[in-house]
Amino acid sequence: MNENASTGSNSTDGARAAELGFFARFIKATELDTRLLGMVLALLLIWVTFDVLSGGLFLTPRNLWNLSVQTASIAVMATGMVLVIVTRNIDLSVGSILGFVGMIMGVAQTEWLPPFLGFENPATWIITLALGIAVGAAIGGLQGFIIAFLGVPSFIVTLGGLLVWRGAAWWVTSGRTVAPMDSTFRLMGGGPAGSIGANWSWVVGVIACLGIVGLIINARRQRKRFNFPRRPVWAEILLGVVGSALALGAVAVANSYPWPIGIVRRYAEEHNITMPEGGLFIPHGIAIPVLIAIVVGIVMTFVATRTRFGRYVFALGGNPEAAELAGINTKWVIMKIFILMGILCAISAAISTARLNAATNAQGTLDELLTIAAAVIGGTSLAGGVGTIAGAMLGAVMMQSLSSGMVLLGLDTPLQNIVVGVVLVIAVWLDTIYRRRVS
Amino acid sequence: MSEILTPSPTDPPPAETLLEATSISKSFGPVEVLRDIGLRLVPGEVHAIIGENGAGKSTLMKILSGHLAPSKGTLKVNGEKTAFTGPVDAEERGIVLVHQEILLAPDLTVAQNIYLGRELRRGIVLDERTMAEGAHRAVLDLGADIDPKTVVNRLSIAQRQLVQIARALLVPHRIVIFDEPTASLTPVETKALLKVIGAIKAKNAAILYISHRLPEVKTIADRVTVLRDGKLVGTYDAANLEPVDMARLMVGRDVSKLYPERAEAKTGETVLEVENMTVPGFTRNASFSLKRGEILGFAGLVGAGRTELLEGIIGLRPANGSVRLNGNAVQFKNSKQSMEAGIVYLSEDRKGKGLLLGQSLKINLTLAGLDKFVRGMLIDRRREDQALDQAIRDFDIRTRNRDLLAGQLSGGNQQKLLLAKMMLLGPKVVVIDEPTRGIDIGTKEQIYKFITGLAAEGKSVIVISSEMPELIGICDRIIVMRNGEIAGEVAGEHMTEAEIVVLATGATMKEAALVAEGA
Repeated sequence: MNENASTGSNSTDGARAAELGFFARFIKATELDTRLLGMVLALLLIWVTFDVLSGGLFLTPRNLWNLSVQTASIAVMATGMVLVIVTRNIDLSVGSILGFVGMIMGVAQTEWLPPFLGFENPATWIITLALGIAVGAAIGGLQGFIIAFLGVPSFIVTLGGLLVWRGAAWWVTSGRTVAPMDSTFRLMGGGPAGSIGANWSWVVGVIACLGIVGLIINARRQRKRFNFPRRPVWAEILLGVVGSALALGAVAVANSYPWPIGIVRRYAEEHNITMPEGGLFIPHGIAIPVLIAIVVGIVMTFVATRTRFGRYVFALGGNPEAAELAGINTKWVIMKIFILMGILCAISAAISTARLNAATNAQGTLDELLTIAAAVIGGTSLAGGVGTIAGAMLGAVMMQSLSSGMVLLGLDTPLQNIVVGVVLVIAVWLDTIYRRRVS
Repeated sequence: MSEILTPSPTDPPPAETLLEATSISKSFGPVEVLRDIGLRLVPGEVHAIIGENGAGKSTLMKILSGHLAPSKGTLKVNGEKTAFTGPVDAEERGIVLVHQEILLAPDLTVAQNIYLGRELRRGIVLDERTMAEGAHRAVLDLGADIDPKTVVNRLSIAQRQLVQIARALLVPHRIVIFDEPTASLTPVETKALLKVIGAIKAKNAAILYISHRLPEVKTIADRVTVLRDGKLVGTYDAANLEPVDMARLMVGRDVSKLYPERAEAKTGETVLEVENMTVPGFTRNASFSLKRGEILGFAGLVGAGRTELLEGIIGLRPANGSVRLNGNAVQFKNSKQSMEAGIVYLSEDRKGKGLLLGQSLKINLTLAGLDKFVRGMLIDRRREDQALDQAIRDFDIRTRNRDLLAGQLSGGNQQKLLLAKMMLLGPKVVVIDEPTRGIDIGTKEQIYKFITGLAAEGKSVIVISSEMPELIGICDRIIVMRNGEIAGEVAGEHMTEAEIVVLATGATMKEAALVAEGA
């Protein structure tokens, strides 16, 4: 089969490099993931198309800022869905878990805690969030236990969960919507108050740049130590510059979206500032839910690539029998994945309840499909063993860009659904072609 | 080594040529796998193709059977210039390939697999009965009595191989290409297969035969074509070619010593004691013991329960019986427990159960011993890299690039990677199932050296193998199993193929000698 694998030598590698075109040489030097690069290009294409069709309404700070906030909830769950799908499982219940946990958190801060703490207690949000995460973990643990230890297929268990937790969400308040939320809790949903402002956003931007440069330098040092082939210096610098520019550019965009005039006026009155001529410009900066999603993304990338648990997840997905023979407790790994998924659902529930300033019964409906679509568009293989957190988050941005772009164009909801469905299938089809080419 | 006669290439009269390949070359990207190969097949001949892993045998076979198109060169079938559009096209011209890998639908029955894609129908319904009969006849022809209604995943690997051969032979054929058909077969099954090949030959068809088992090639082939590094070394009359000559032509150097010289085994105290081990459905009341520094072989026919017995001991299958490790009674529930106790197992199914083919070498290497590479919460990638460097050096894993995936290594290097992976655990007892299946002769030699090296370090090794010469070559003792029971044990001068066959089959000594000679 692989007879040619051992016959190649370094000299043929060198010869091959010389034959490559400019683009291929660029990719080889920078070691960029071509698939991820393709996704970024596709995303840019979508953005530009919507911008042109909407007459310049899409690529505005306001729209991009909103897009980032709307993406946060799905992006958080998509990071967990990657691990679920990598192990050849599926989770159809995430939208319902989000709904149920959101309802629990809503009721906790409006009805359960106030008798003890009163309203607007500074501890309310953290107790609520902790409770939500505990409930999410428990639900994930229960489903994971049934899947891993009782051997019921995940498709069935989570299909059941889809119905059970949606029903349970209704049960908590008999279908009543719960509002308003604690004001500190609401910061997790974004909005003018739930953003970190211009100065802190620049701080985050600079930290991101330092992080990017630090990673590049560290990786280079490691390779030098082991005498591995290193990227050419120009490629390293290019990567550092482009990465930093993207981070700072994102901050600049978030900082050019000002608070709405009404809120500025109220703020001015409260702080006894006289409104200057032409109004007061107060930028949003990065929204807290977006920051949460980014932190989750970084942590999950670490979990997936640098911890033993993450390694086992991919081993299990690649070849379950070999993983078991290597002494991995595969059942326990599966159960842990679902616990993690439950926790991520709870974080998403907090974001989305805080953003709506209410817990409703229908919250998160169909989110499971968006989450799965994000992971799959992001390159997670349903055959198992393959997938990246970054890809899934990018997939989430893509899904959200499509729907918010179509809202901007004023397309009817049914037509939006048709477009999203068609795009999903086409995206996966293109991916199949790409994978076939690569192998 | 005495002088070896250098055989001269041979070419039969071009009277009636079934298939002629001229100047065939094949490149994958910039890598040339085959260069300028010429080959002629005449009716009624068994033509063996031999060469080390990576010599290009499989690629050549895939070209001749329409699975791949050559980059250069021409093919003539019955004197007519041909470019196959695909394997189906080649099949229609009477050329069938029996693949090396097992390509069967595991959840379908034997009959369903044999007739897959060419089902017989009566009206619009499937004619199950005729197909079952046909399938049964087809496997009986191969000397195996397998119920055609058995689901394939209940069969052993050897039985699956036979089903695959039966499936190929169902097509009307003029040329049959066998890609290592006997790699997973025991001597008796091999014998039966060789008989089938004789029958095909008698019908004036031609057989192309790839094998790593050189004595077998000597027995069966009329002509032998040797490939080395993608080039043609020559085609020779088998009658003038001894196995040692074949090996020399394949490797390009002298390889008369396949098995390492072993100093008188210095075995120590008993490490493992197994008593009355019963693995339901596979073995009954098996008892044996293993000493420190000893290499113990397990021989037997396929289906005798060798693999299952060991799997039962290390906790991969439910089993009853007593196991004592260093004198302490143990009972393993899964492979994690047995590994922690110091027993490691290398599966015969390297690709299916041993490796993560889609993952890097590093990830494969450290998977079982990952605990040693975790610092705090994170995996220490620096130490992983060091371990890979060390493994590549110690086990001579040949890879042009450290970032290759395990699936891109050749079979021999995959086996070395698996060995390296398990040795990271620092085991006391190493169980290796079919250590050299599908591995070329140069790498085999290395694997044998590793195995004897382990024993010399004081580890105890159990080798399960269907290749008797290999067991005889490296083991101190050989336990022979038959029908799920231990039929006996041979050691010292009694370690001969004939004695093993007697125990394995229950045959008489005379019959056994005949079988041993053939295989």
